[in-house]
Amino acid sequence: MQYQKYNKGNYNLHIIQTDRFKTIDIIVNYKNELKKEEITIRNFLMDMLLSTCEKYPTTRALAVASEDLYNISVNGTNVRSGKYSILSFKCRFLNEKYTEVGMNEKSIAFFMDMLYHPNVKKGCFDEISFEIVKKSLEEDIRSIKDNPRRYSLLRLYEIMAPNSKISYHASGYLEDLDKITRENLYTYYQTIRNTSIVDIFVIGDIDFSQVEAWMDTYIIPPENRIPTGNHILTYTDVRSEEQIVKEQADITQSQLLIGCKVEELTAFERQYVMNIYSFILGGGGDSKLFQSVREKNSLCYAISSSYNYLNHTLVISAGIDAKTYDKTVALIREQIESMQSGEFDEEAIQKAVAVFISGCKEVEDSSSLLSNTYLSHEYLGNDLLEEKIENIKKVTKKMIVELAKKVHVDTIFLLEGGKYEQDSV
Amino acid sequence: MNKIPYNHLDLNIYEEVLDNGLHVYIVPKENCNNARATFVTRYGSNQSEFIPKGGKEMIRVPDGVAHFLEHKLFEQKDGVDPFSFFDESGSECNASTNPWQTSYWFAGPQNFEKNLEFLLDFVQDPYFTKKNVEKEKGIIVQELEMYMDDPYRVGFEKSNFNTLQIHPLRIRTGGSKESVESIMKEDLYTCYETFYHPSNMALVITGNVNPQSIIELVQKNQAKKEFSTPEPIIIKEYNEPDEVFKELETVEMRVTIPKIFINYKINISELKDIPAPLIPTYVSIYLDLKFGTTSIFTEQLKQEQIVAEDLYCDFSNIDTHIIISIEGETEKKDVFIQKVDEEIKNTDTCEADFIRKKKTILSSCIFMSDHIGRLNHRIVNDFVKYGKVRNDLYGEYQSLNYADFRKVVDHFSFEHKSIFIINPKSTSI
Repeated sequence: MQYQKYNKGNYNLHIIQTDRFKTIDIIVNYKNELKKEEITIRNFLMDMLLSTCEKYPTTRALAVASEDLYNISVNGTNVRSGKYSILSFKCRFLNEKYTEVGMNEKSIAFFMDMLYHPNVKKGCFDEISFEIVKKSLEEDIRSIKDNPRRYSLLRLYEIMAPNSKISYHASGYLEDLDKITRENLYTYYQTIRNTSIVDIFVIGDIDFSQVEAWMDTYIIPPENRIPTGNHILTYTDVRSEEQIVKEQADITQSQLLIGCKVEELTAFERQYVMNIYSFILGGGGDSKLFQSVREKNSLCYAISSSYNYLNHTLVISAGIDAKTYDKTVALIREQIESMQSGEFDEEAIQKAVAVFISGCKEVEDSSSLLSNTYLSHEYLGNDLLEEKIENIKKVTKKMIVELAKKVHVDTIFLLEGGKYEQDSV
Repeated sequence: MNKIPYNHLDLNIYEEVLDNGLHVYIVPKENCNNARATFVTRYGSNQSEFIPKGGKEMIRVPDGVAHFLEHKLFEQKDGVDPFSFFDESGSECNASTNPWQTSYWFAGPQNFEKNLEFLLDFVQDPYFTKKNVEKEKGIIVQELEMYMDDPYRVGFEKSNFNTLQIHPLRIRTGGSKESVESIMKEDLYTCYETFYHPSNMALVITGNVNPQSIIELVQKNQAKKEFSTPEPIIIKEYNEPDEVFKELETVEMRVTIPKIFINYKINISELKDIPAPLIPTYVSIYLDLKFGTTSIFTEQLKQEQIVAEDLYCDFSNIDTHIIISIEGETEKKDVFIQKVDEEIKNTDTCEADFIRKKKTILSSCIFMSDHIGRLNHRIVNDFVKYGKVRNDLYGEYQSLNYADFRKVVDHFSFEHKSIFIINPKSTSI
C-alpha cells in the first residue's frame, strides 16, 4: 500500500494505491462548521445531489445509468465531527480490470456529473425532485420517535447539554425545512462548493499520475482555501448533582441511558486511554457492564458503553424492564466507580489492547476505514496505523484510573415502557 | 482435500469432508489481514418437529429452542467465557439463529488457529444445567421485548405468521415469552444431540489462512472427540396450503406514518425445469424491475406523494411456496395496497431491462468476493440450503436468461395475499 497527498491549491487530493480491492473508491469531503440552522438544508442538498443531475434528471434515469456502469454506487453522509460537519460523497465501482477498458474514467465522469452538474435550471433546483426529497426529509424528521433507542439518545443529549452542538438533531428541523426553496438551496450549493474545506480520496489498484490527471480534469476546486480549526468540544459546567429524567412511552422495553461528561483530555488520552477505558467498562461480552448486568443478574440483553472523544461524552445504554430500573442503575454505578478505584487487572488491559490492535489491522482490509484513518490524521492530527499500534501498548493502569476520575455521570434518562397492553405474536 | 477454483473471482475453495461427516470449506485470501470462521449447523427454528436421535416418535419442541441453545452454548463447564477468550487476541465472536440455521463465528487478524480450536471445542461441548438455563430466560425475554418495539421486525414476523398456516416459518425464531419460559435443559440436550452431529454441520473459513495447516488442525481436533454414527435426521414435512392464514390484520404501535406489509404466497412446487438455486434470483430480478429504484411504478408513487421512501421488497421460501414481501410507509393505505396489487400482477417486462439487471448481479458477485465476511456468509448459506458450495456462482449468473425468467414469471399467481398494517397509536405519547 502506498499513500500520497497532493496539495491542489484550494483542496487536498489523497491517493491510496493498494492491490487489496477489486473496486475503486472516490470520496469527496466538504467540511464546514456545524451550525444548527444549516443541518436541514445540508441534508436536503445531499439528498438532491444523490437523486438526480442535469444529465439524468430523474431518480429512475440516474439509477438506470448507474446499473449500466456495472452497478456503480454513490452515497452520501453528513458526519458530525465535534464542532464540524463533514458532507461526504462516496462512489464505489469495479476496477475496469473486472469489467471493460475505459470504465474507470466513465465511472469517475458519472460521479462528477452528480457533484458538479446538478439538476438546476435558471438558478433553481428541479421542482419534481425537490418535492420528492422534501417529502422524504419531512417524514424522516416527523418519525423521530419511531426508533426508541435513537429517540432516547437524542433526548439524552438535549437534556445533558441544551443548546450545545451535541443536542442538535441530525435529521434536521421542520421549521427549517419549510424555509428551504429551490432558489436558496442552489445558493447553499454554491456556498458549499466554494467555501468548504475540501479533501478528496481515491483508493484502489490505480496509477498515481493517472488518477491525478483525471482529478485535474474533472474536479472543480473551491474558489478559496479555507483554514481549518479545532474540532474538539469541551464542557466547563460539570454538574454537581446528576439529573434524572423519566419519560413515558407506549413501548414494551424501557431504554435506559446514562450520559457522562468527560473532563478535557490530552491527545493521548483521547486516542488511546479512553478507548481502553470504555472497552473494559462496556465494550463487549467480556466487559464489566455485560458481565454484571446481563450475565450475573439477567437484567438485560444488550448493554454497552460508547464514547465520543471529540464531544467529551460517554454514554451507557441498556434495554431493560422498567421494574428493574433502580437495581440496574445501582449496578452500573458500581461498575463506573470500580473503574475509578482501579478494580480491573492487567489482563483486562491486555485484552483491550489486543482488540485495538486487531482493529488497526482490519483497517487495511477496508477502503472506507483506510480513508477515515487518513482523514482523522488530516483533520484531528490523529496518529496513523503503525504509530497507533505502538502507542496503545503504552497505556498503563494508572492512566486509566486517572481518566476514570474525569468521567462524571451527568444525566440519567429512562424512556419508560411496559405500562401499556402490547400485542404479541 | 479438493482444490476447486472459485470461477471469475480470483479465488480457490479447498473442500474436505471429514470421517465424522463434517464439511470444511476454506477460501484463502492472501491480500488481506483478517480471517473469519463460521461453524454452522443446519438447524434453526424451522426444525421444530422431528424424530429425536435414538427415538422413534415425532416430537414437537417449544418455540425458540434453537435460539435458546445458541445462547447456552456460550456457557462453558470450566467457566472460560468465549467472549473473554476471543478478546484475548482481539477477535470478535458472535452467533445467530434464523429459521434455517444456527451459526457461531469469530473473526480477527491474530491467533487464528487457537481461536479455531476454541470455536470447535466450545460448540462441541454443551453444558446445560437447570440453574444456567433459568438464568438465561430473563436475558432472552429482554431480547424478545427489544424486537417487539421494532415495527419492521413486528411487521415481518406477524406477516409470516398470517401468511402461513402450518409451516414453522410462521413462528418467531426466538419464540414467545411463554414458550421461552417453558424451555427445560432436557429440550436443549434433545435438540443438541439430534442436530449438532458433525455430519449436519460445516466449518467455513475465509481470509488470510493456510488451508493445509487449517485442515490438519481440524482433523486432529475432531479425531480427539467421540461422535455417534451419523443417522439421517427425520424432520416433519408440511403440506402447506395455498391459502393464507389471515388476509388482513391491523395493529397500533408507536409509529408516525402507517407501515404496510403485503405478503404474496406463491406455489412453486410445479416449477420444475428451472435450476432451483436460480429461482430466488429470478424472483429478485422481478421484484427489482417492478418496485426497485429503476421502476416507473416507484417513481410515480413518489411523484404522487403516495410514498416518500423506496419500497422494501424481499422474499423467503419453503419447499413448496415462495413468499414475496413488499413494505411501504404511507398515509394513503388503500391506494397503496391497490396500486401494488395491480403492479405485481402486471407481469409485462422488457428484455433490455432484464439484461441490465443481470449485469448488476454479475457485478455484485465480484463486489461480494472482496469481503471475507460476505464471502463466508454466502458459502454458509449455500451449504445450508443446497448442501454444497456454489463454486461457479459467476457462471450460474451468466446462465440467467430471459426465457427462463419469463417461465418463472408466467408461473406466478398473486391470488393469495396477507396484509398487515401498523397504524400510529391513537393516543400516542
